Amino acid sequence: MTKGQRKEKVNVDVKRVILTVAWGGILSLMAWASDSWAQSATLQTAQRPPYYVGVPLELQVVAEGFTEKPQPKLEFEQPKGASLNLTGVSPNVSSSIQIINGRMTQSRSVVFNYHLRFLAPKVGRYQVGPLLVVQGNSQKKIAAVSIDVTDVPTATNQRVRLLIPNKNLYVGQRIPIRLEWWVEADGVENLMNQQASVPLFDRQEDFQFHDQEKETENTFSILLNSGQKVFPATVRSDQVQGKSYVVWRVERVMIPLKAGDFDIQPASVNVDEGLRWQRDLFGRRTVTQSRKLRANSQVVRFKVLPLPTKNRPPSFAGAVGKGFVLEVSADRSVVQVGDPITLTLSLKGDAEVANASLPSMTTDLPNTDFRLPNGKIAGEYVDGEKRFEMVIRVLNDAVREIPPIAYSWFDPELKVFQTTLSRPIALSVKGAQMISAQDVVRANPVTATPAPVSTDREAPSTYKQKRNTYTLSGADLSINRDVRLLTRSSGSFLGSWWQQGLSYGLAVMLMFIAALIRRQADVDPETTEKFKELKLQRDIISNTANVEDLSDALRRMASVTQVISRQEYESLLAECDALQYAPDSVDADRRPNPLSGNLRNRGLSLADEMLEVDK
Amino acid sequence: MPVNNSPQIRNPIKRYLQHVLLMAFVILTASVQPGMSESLEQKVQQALDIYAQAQESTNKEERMEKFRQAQRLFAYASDQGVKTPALYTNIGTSALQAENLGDAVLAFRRALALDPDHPQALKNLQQSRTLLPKWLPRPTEEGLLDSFFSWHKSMAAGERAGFAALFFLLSAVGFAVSIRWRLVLVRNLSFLPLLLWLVLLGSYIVEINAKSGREAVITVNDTVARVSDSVNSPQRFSQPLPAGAEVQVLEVRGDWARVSLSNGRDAWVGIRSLTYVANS
Repeated sequence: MTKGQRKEKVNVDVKRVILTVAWGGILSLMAWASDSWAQSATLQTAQRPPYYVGVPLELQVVAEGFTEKPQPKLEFEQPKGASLNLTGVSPNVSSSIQIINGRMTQSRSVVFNYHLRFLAPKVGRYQVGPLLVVQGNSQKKIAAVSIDVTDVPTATNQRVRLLIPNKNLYVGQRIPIRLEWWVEADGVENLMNQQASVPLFDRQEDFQFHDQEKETENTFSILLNSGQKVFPATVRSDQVQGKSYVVWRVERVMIPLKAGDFDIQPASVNVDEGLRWQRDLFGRRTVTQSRKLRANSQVVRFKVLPLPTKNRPPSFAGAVGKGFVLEVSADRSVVQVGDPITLTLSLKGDAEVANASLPSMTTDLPNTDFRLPNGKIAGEYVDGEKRFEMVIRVLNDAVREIPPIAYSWFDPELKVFQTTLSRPIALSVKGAQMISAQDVVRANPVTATPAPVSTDREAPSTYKQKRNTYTLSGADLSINRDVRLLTRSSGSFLGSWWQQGLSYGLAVMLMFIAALIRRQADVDPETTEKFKELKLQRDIISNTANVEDLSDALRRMASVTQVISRQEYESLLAECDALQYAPDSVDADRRPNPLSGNLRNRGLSLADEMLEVDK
Repeated sequence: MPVNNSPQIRNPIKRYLQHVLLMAFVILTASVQPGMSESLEQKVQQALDIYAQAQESTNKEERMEKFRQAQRLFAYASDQGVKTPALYTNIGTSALQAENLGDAVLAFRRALALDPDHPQALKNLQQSRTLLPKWLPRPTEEGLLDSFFSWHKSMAAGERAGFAALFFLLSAVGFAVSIRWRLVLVRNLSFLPLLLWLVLLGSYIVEINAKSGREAVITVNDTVARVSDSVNSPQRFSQPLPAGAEVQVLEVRGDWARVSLSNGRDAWVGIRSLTYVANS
C-alpha cells in the first residue's frame, strides 16, 4: 500500500467515526427530547381563597411522565416571610393493556404527588416557587405562583388561654400547663374544623413535654411543626359574667431544659363557623357557606432559673421536684466477704423519675467496706418508679449493715435541696475461708441417717438462723415401748411382697384349674363311661387270681374299644380258654383255674394298650 | 398279687393342686420372719431405757445427750432393716426432744409413709413444722378435693398394693366359680373386685411414679440454697434453709439437687444436705 492510499484510508475511517458519533448524538437528543416532552409537573391546591394567616394551606405538586425509579426530587426555596414544607410524597403507578383488532397496546403511567404545607404568619402576598422536579438529568420546572394571605377575623365568642402556674421556674422542674379553649355555648354547634396552634409546644430545644396516658372521650387537635397531633382533652361547661361557655382543656407537663427569659408567642385556635346550612338526602346537616374565625391567647412570659449550686449535697443527681422516696432491698443478708449482693434501689416521687439517675454512692458505701460497680447504673422505669439494680461486694467482715443511702433533690417550691435516706439493711458477714472436709461440722451430730457432708463453702455453724421458740407443748413425746412391735420386721402381712405374690399366684392358678375342670366336664359322658369301664377291667386283671376273670375282663374291654394287637389278644384268649375248659381242670367243686404271672402280664399289656387307644 | 411297676394314670387336677400347695409352702417358708437377734432387741430396749432416763434428768445438757443417744439406738434398729411406723415415730420423737428438727421431720415423714394415719407421727410432724422459721413455706393444708380423696392418703402405698392383690384374688375366685359351674351372676359380681383392683393398682402406680424417691427433707442445718449448681452462684433466698425443710427434688446433677419448696420456689442445694423420705 502506498503512502497516499494509506492516508486516504485513514480519512475514510475518521469520517466513519464522526458520522457514527453524530448519528448517536442525534438519536440521544431525540430520545431526551421525547422524554422531556412527555414529562409534566403542576402545582395545585384543593382549597379556595381566601387564604388566612396562621392557617396552613395544603398544596400539591403533581409530576407525571417520570420513570418509577429513582423517585424525583422536588426542589424549591422557602417563600419570603412564610414557610413551605414538604409533608409527604405518594407515588402512583398504574398499568393498562389495550387490545384493539388483535393488536395489544400496553401503557404504564407513573404519577408522583408531593404534598406541601404553606403557612404564612402575616397578612400579605407571598410568592411560592419556582419549584423544580428533578430526576437524574431530566428536570421539570413549575412556575412561581402568588398567594394572597389575609387575616382571619377574630372570634368574639371564643377565647384561648395558655396557663402556666408560676412565673419563676427551675430547670428540670415538672410544670403542669393547661391550654383552654372557651366557646360560647350558643354558637358551639356552628363551629367545625377546629385547629389550634401552640408555639410553646414547638420549642423542643428549650422544653420537654410529657403527656399523661389517659383515655378520654374528647380530643383536641393541635398543629405542631411535626404535624397534626391529637391530645386527650376534657370538656366542661362554665359561666363567666353570666355567659355560658363550653371549655376544652388540654393538660401537659412541661420541663424546662434551659435557663433564661422566655416570651412565648400566643396560642391560637382557628375554626370554621358555618353560616348557611342545608340537609342532604339522609337528613344530615351540611354547611354551604362558612367563614374562618380565630381566637388568640395572650403572650406568655416567664423565667426559667438555673438550679442553685450553693449547698448542693453530694447525693444530688439532678432531680427536681418533691416527695422523693428511695427504697433499697438486698437479695441476701448472710454473706461471706467478697460475695455479691444485688441491691435494688427503687426511686419514687412527685417528679420526673423516669430520667433520674443515681448519685455517687461512695460516701454512703465507702470503698473500704464495699466494692461498687464501675460506671453509671442504668435504671428501669416501671409503674411510676425507677428501679436500679447494682451488684456490690462486701470487702470487710466487720460490716454489719448496708448503711442508709442518701438521695437528694431540689424542691422548687421551697427553693432548697432536700435529702432522703433509705433504711439500713442488716448484714451477717463472715470472713472468706477455705473449708476442708475435716472442718465441716454438722449442727446436729446425731442423725438417723449417715451424717452428710456439706458441699457448700459456708460452714453450717456460721449461720444461726432465727427460728421460732422451741416449744414442744403441742407434741406427743411419749414413745412406744413394745419391743416386739418396734422390732417387727417388715410391717404387716397386708402389702408384703409375698402376700401380693401369693394372691396373684393363687388367682392365676384358680383360673387355670377352673378352666381345666370345665374342659373335662365338657367331654362326652359316653367316652367317660367307656374310660371308666376300661379302667375297671384293667384293675380286675391286675388284681384277679384266676384265668376266668382275665379272659372275661379282656373280652369286656375288647367290646368297648379297639384291639390293636389282635393276634396276641386271640392267642391269649385261646390259652385262657384252653386252661379254663381243659378236662382235667374241672373238678367236682368247680374251683377256678389259677392265673400264672406270665398270663397276667400279657393281659395287663393288652389292657394298657386298649386304655391308651381310648385316651 | 398286684403288680406296681406298670404305668399309673394320675388325675391332672390333683397334680396342679399339689403344685399350688407346694408354692404356697415355699412362699410361706420364705416369708417367715427371721427372729430378731438378741442384740437388736437389746439395743431397742436400751434406747427405751435411755429415753426414760432422759425424761427424768433435770440437767439440760445431760437430757439432750441422752435423747441423742436414744435416737441413735432407735436409728440403729432402722438401719438393720426394721421399718415400722412405731420405730420411726420413736426416732422422730427422740430427735424432736434432742432439738434435731431435720431428723425429726424425716422420721415422722417416713412413719407416715408407712402408716398415713399414725396419730402421733401426724401430731409431732405438725409440731415440728411450727418450730421452723416463719419465712419457710410449709406443705399446704388439705383442700376440699383432698378431703374427698382422703381414702387415697389414709392407706399406705403398700397397703393399697396388698388390697389390690386381695381384690384380684377375690375376683379370680369368682371367675373360677363362674367358669366351673357356669354361674353368670357370680361372673358379673366378680367384676366389682376387679374394678377395685384396677382403682387401687392405678393409685399405687401413680403414687410410685409421681413421688417415689422425690420427696426429701433438708437434714443439714443452714443449707445455703443457690440459684445454680455451683458454690459460687448467688444465694437463692435471703436466708439459708433450716434442717427440717421439706422439699421436692426436681433434678439431680452431680453433687447438687434442684429442689422445690412448698410454694413452688426452687433452688439448688448440695445433695448431701438432704435425705429422701423413701428409705430404700
